[in-house]
Amino acid sequence: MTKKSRRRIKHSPKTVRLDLTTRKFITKTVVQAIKMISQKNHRLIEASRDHPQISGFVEHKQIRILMVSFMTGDTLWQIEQMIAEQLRLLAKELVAIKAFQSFSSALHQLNPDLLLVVGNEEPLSGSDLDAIRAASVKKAIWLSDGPATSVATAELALLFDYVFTQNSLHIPFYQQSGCKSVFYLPFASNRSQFTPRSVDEAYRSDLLLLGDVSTSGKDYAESIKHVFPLRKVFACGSGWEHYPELTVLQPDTELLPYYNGAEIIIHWGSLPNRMFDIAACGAFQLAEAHPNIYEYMKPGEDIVTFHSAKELLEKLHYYSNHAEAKRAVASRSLWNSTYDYSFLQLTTKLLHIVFNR
Amino acid sequence: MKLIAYLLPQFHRIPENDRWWGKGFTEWTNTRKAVPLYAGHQQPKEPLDHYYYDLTDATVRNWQAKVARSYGIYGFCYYHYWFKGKTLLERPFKEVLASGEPQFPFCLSWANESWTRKWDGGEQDVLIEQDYGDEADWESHFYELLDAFRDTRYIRVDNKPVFIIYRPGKIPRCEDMLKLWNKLAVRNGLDGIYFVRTLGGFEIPSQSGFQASVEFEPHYTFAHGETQRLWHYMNISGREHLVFDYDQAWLSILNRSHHRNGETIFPGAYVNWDNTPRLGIRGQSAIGASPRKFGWYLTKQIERAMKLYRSEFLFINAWNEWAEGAFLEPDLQHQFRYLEEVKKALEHTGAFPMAASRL
Repeated sequence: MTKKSRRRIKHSPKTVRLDLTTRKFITKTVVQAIKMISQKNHRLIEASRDHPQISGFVEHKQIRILMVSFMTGDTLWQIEQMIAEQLRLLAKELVAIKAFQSFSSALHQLNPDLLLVVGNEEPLSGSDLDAIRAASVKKAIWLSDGPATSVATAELALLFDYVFTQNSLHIPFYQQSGCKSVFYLPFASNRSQFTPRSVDEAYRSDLLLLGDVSTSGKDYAESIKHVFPLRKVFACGSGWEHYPELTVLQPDTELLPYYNGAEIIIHWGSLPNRMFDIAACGAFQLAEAHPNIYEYMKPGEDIVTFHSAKELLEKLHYYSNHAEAKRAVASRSLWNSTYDYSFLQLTTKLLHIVFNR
Repeated sequence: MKLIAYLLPQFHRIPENDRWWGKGFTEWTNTRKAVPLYAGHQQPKEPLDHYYYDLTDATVRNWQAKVARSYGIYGFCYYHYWFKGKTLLERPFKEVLASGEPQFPFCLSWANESWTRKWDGGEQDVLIEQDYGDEADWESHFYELLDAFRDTRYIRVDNKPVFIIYRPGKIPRCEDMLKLWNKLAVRNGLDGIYFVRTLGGFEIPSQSGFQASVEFEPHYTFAHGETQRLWHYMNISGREHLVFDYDQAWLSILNRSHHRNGETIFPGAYVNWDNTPRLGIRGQSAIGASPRKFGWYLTKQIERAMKLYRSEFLFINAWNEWAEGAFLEPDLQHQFRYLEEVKKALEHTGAFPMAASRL
């Protein structure tokens, strides 16, 4: 076969001369293609370089980690435990402690390969700050900075070699504050809580709206308000009292059963982790386009996004009338909650960034 | 599922405590003097509405039972103190027996440790020493309790009153004593005694005569759990204070094998632990406790008790150990949150409302 082909080329009857515009176009295309190839090769080289090290910590469990939790209160304690649970799977040893006063003595005793601080809810004492600063181990912080951040958080983050944030919009702020390695790494959903469940009629709705009715929210609400008298609609956020056809949920309502009871969930200006929680319930979500979405989810596949009130209305109309398409998106989001944006994947990513980049 | 909460009777004055600790001493004396030792350390623990009750008051005992029942607690396990013929803190329970009130199930746990200045049941600074005597002493101890054993409110298994011994390993001729009690029980019209050994924070020798073992938490976990990394020293103004992680202790409880030695096991649960009101900086305190966590862990432990241990009972430390931070009773900070979590845990596991608490 090879010989034959060569012969054919060799005996090509004549040379075709192309005009200048076509030649320029081909040249440009080839140059672009070559660039692409080199990028691809580069990635391959990187991947092959990474591979043995990944298998090093994943398969052979070589790393010792001291995880210090700064997450207090009743909302994040299970997240802390889920991270610890995954790290136990991945590391040789995980010591998980709370950030109690003078906790840094544990750092001296254990001398881990990685100090991982999780959360930023508790202020640190001066001596603990000094101990972290002076420690020669790799240091990472996985911030619980979802809705907002602060100068104090940035100052804390500065102590660490690696900073992981819940919100991609915070990255430039931390970088400007002096943090060199900042990554968007949201907490996964707590699958022991957020999971498909049947719920009582009281929690069931055709539409669940999450977001405040202000500026863009007003446009969204107005564009779909004709649906409210026709469907069972719940809304959580400020400003909904102007729409008497729907039921307003109190701000502190536990939304989990409402996620499980909703046919369609529309949200905007949402907390970064909300989309994961909704996905983990196997619910269909229409979300306002936001930079946080794209790194882990795929619009059109496991989430549907909108950029304008008009697009929201169109997509609401489409998915209201295409149950199988809606169900397929929701099913993919449920699948990906287990296999793509789970705590196992996210903690693996953290370790990969810290030890392999 | 029957949740039984330990009840400490030391909320009334007795001459011995007046002598040892000062006039007017009760458990409230310890709780009132507690101070926070570090940031986030919640002390003193104060009862809701400042209800510093006295357990010699019948209305208090009735209130306790009413509250406990309404949140799903099946019964109380009263601590019983017997020092070779000498009883201590016996008055509240004796009044429960004599009055027939509250109409609420109960059993007894013989806290057979010496009393010490350090509250540790050790052998230093002994206030009153435990001495077990011989057959005559055992017999008089049995007859001291016979009215209780005959009471219809007494919690039974196989129609035998459940009697818990805290540290049977300390009793030199324990097996002989249990045999004698069983003989006396039958002679007095009972089917026998259902003896339960406590699995606590001490060595547990192999002893026969017990029908079951009860996990006393968190002490059992402290002493026998996978707790290598549980404890940490906190530096408080140059002095060391021992703290442990509330969640780690619970995880150790929930990940424990249900196999022990083939015996029936009644699983345990703990609300919180902080004995700094008694010992100050020399005490230990849990970091990270909250009602919601307690409810979460209790739910899992009830599920384990039902499915894995096939146990009718689960013992909670405690109803009112205020000076050890182990209490379900409402306080100023959390109000009824811990009790609400008990109810939710029972509802979640399908165990509320109980068929049992009919009394």
